[in-house]
Amino acid sequence: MSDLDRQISLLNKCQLIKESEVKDLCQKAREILIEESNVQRVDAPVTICGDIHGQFFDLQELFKVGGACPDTNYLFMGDFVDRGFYSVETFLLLLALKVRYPDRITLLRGNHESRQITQVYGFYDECLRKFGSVNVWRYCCEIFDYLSLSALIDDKVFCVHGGLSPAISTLDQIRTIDRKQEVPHDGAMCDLLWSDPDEIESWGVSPRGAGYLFGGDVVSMFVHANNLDLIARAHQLVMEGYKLMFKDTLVTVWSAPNYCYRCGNVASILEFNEHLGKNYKIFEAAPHENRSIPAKTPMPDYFL
Amino acid sequence: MERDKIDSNLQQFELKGFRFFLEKAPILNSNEIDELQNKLEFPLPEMLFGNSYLKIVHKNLEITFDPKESLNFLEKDSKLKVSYSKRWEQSAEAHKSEIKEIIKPYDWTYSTNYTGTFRMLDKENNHSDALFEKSDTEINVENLKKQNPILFYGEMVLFEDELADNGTAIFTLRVRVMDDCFFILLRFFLRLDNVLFRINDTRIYHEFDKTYLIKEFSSTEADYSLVKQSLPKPNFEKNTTSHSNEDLSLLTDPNFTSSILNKKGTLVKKTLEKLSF
Repeated sequence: MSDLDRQISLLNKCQLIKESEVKDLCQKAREILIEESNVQRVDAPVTICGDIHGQFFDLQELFKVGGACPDTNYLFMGDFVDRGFYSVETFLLLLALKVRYPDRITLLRGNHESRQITQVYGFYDECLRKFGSVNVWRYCCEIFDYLSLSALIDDKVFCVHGGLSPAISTLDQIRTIDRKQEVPHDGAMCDLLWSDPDEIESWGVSPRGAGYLFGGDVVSMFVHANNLDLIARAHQLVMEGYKLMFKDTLVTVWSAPNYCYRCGNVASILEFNEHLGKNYKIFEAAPHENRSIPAKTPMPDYFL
Repeated sequence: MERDKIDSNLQQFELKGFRFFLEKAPILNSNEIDELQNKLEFPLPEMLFGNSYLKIVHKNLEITFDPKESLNFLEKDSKLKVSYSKRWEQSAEAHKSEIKEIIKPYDWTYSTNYTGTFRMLDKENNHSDALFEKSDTEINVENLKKQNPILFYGEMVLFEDELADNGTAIFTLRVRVMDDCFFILLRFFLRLDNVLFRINDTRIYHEFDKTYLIKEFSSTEADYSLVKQSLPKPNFEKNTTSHSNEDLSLLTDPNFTSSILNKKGTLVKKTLEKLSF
């Protein structure tokens, strides 16, 4: 058994690998990811997945429902880390699978694959707690910068974490972005990872003073200009696991069931067969995932 | 998914003529979201536990804590923006001609000052708002500090929003009933990264041998930097190359930040009221 296979089998049991092994793994991953395009070409059949957010046992549930990697080809649309309790195991497992089966699994960058965001939402803290140092966090953040921004399945399905950008009207414009950097606060790269669809006309600006919303006409123009059938994205929690919008030209796929261990939502993955026929699979949280979370009945507390 | 398939859990308790009902349900589904959003005309918090509630019934008095209703109590004229909004808006200038729709301004921080719904029921089952009066009677904190047995305890989240990863807005409720009194803390907590912290607390206190209850509302704010300065110094056990405090996760803990706000924050508003029954 190779080192890599041994590491995968450890990570599959939610056990950690050594810091030096993480360093090696990241180096190998970098060599693969650096070759990938900002619009990575992917062949069907493939199963696409939305946010995971460190819910390791729910990711195992996902593999149960969708089939093991590499028997099934997977495309993950980012947000592997933060909020859940097992961001480290989740990201390292996906990264190890990427290194082991580079053509069988595609990993896109989400807005949480960022130094700034992970410092606040748990991944940094988890690395420090589980490894006693921040080195693993640093190695992972370097890899985040190499993750591709989007993917194109059989020239027809465009996959991205957040959505569209007013600075982007063709896929070629995405190809010219220099992605090897921290996610910026503005510009095309930021929009691809952050923007949301909405029932509006054209583009909207959020009253929070940052972030675009895009309407059905924007999607229709982009789909037409790039000869697409569908835009698939993640980024937003959906109670039912997925949500179609704009006459089925855009879908949000959400793959973290019972998000944050309290939302009570189901999750989904979207399977494309070799003819791009679609099949949504719904799944619920693994009973396992709840192991280390507070009991449903909270302990009485003399709050004031 | 059908609503009745989802496991909600209802806790019930009765003491001295007061009946407590606490029900916790999952976040609203897409249909429920669309319906409420059409009514309110602004985007809802990402996680709205709209079917959860705490209800207390005593004689003809009915007290409800309703997550949906709390969205009618947001700031009317909120000016808050994310920390990097100036830069972002400058870069968006380039696409001004394409931006047709400016989303109708609303309090995207969901800073609710909802303190609960208090209604009286008359003989014909008509509801009317229960009337509070201003009061000097403070909550008996010393009594609450006593470790008298807690006979009924409950917690619930009314709503939560991640502010598109610019912080947290979370609205929670805790209730405890002891032999001589009950106490409720309804807390709205806002962390807007690199901008500010805000806590809106409503405390409701009733001693069973009295004929009134006390409602205290307070709103406290502090600059983000002030709270960040109060983070404990990092204490890395081994093998670290960094001495800067990069772990900000404590700032996501309302218990930690509220203790800082209590000491160093600015009290923006405080009211004390009494409801006789």
